[in-house]
Amino acid sequence: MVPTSDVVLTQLRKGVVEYCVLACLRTAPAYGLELAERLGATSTLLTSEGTLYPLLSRLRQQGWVTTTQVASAMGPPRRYYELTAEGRAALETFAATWARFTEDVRTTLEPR
Amino acid sequence: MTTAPAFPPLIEAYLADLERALAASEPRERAETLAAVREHAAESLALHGSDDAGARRVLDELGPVDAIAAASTPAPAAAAAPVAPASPTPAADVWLVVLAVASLALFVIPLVAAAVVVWALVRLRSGAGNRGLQKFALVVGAVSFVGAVALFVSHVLAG
Repeated sequence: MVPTSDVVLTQLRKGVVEYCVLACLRTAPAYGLELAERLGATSTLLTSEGTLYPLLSRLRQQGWVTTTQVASAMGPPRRYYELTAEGRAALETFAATWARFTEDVRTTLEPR
Repeated sequence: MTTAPAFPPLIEAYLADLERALAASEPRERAETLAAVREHAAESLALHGSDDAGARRVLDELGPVDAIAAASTPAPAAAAAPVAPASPTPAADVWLVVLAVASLALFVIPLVAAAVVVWALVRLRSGAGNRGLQKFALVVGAVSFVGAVALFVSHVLAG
């Protein structure tokens, strides 16, 4: 059976999107809607913006991000997510590995 | 203290659906996801308006509740079922053993031993009760019966 592109994307997202979330937090903390809009702006990283939240909860439980409630001038308090030192180290390891991996995938996929 | 904002009915219905869809998810992740989605909805409604169009836009952003549930971690399997307490030995099996021992002492009356053997076989075939005691009673009853027969034969031969 030939997989659909949705099936392929679901497989590819596993173990990758969490690092994209960490990458979004590399320069500054961000709140949920902000992260959802940044990741949801592309068509492939999130199935829908709501799927970001179980992932954020796992990252927090894993100790890779921390959360802080901050009052907002224009609405309810915002839950800001911030990268921890461990999360930053995990992101660096992933980024280095990903570069090698994607290079190998690209080279392999190229027609000879 | 922060009070939960009142959501339009569409959003409330979505949140209730999400809560149900996450029923089998890991409890802490479920609670955090629900709280974060509520915040997302409140923030987005504040930006885009809380009328029907605004509510529909928020629901489009968040996506189907099933997709969120599929992205969540399933709750660990329910704790293993508690081990059933050992069932007490039925009184019938205790009496069976008592009768078997008595048949050994009274082996000159083979009727008792025969009754023990038959009763033990019936109990074993039923599959209920303490099979160890039933087998013990069967062996004792059989030994007692064989003893009675041997005694009878020896008397006949001697006579």
